[in-house]
Amino acid sequence: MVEEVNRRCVLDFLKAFYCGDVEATLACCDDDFDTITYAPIELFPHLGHKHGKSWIPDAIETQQKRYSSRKYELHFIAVDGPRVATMMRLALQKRNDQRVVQFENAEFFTLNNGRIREHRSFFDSFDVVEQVLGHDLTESFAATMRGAMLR
Amino acid sequence: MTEHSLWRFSRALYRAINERHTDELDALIDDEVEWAIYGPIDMFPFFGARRGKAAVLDVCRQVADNVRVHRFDRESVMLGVDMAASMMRFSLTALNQNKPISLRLAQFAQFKGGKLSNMRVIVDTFDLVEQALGHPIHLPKIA
Repeated sequence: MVEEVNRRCVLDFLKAFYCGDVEATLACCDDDFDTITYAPIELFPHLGHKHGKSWIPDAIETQQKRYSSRKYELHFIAVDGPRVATMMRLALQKRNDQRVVQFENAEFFTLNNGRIREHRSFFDSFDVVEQVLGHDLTESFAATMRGAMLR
Repeated sequence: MTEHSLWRFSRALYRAINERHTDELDALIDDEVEWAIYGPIDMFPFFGARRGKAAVLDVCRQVADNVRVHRFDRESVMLGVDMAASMMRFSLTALNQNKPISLRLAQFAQFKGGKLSNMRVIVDTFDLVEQALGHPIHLPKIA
């Protein structure tokens, strides 16, 4: 029963967040909400470590400014007591050049009394940086990296 | 109470990487396994998608050729019926450069009859590339 409540809460959170429904997103979160998204904050100042529910309207607003559409497709969900993990594919259409940034996103939630208290998220950040900048970084570093990693 | 497949698989994977013993791992992987580690394959040839047991064992050997695991902590684990998700933090050494690397990743696993049938691994690759290069990558600031 508790697991079903927690699963529902996370699904509602994702739906509300990507619909841009601030009130519904906030309703899924504990007052002591804490989030970390592991990503370079030079490009993603709304990510990194944030504490408090005020992150939610800021994050939604920033993404809506940058992207004309934000879609997600849930590929995996696991629920174990107060913890929920999801893996989904995100497709964000950039306003500046209409290109679609697509990537897999992993999110881990810890809930308290049916509300999300802790949120951790990460993705293939190197690939996302390349997609956001609109150019390939791999070539610049691949030669160096070939020396660092064996084939 | 039967042990969850994740624990047997994790022990076997650790032995395959650090001790190069793949026999246990071989027995715990489905023949038709689907496997993907999302990341830049030009820099890390053991990233990318693989299909089938032989390809997965081969990629585990490639990982073993490149890194040694010193420590790993599961920061969060969710166990379901025939599935598991975990957020993990690894302390590694890149063998070719004897360079320490700290890595956080998400692992999503599905099992069939106790054997791994699907694995997806998501890594904070920008941080990983910076550590492997040994210097920060300068990015434009975007407000």
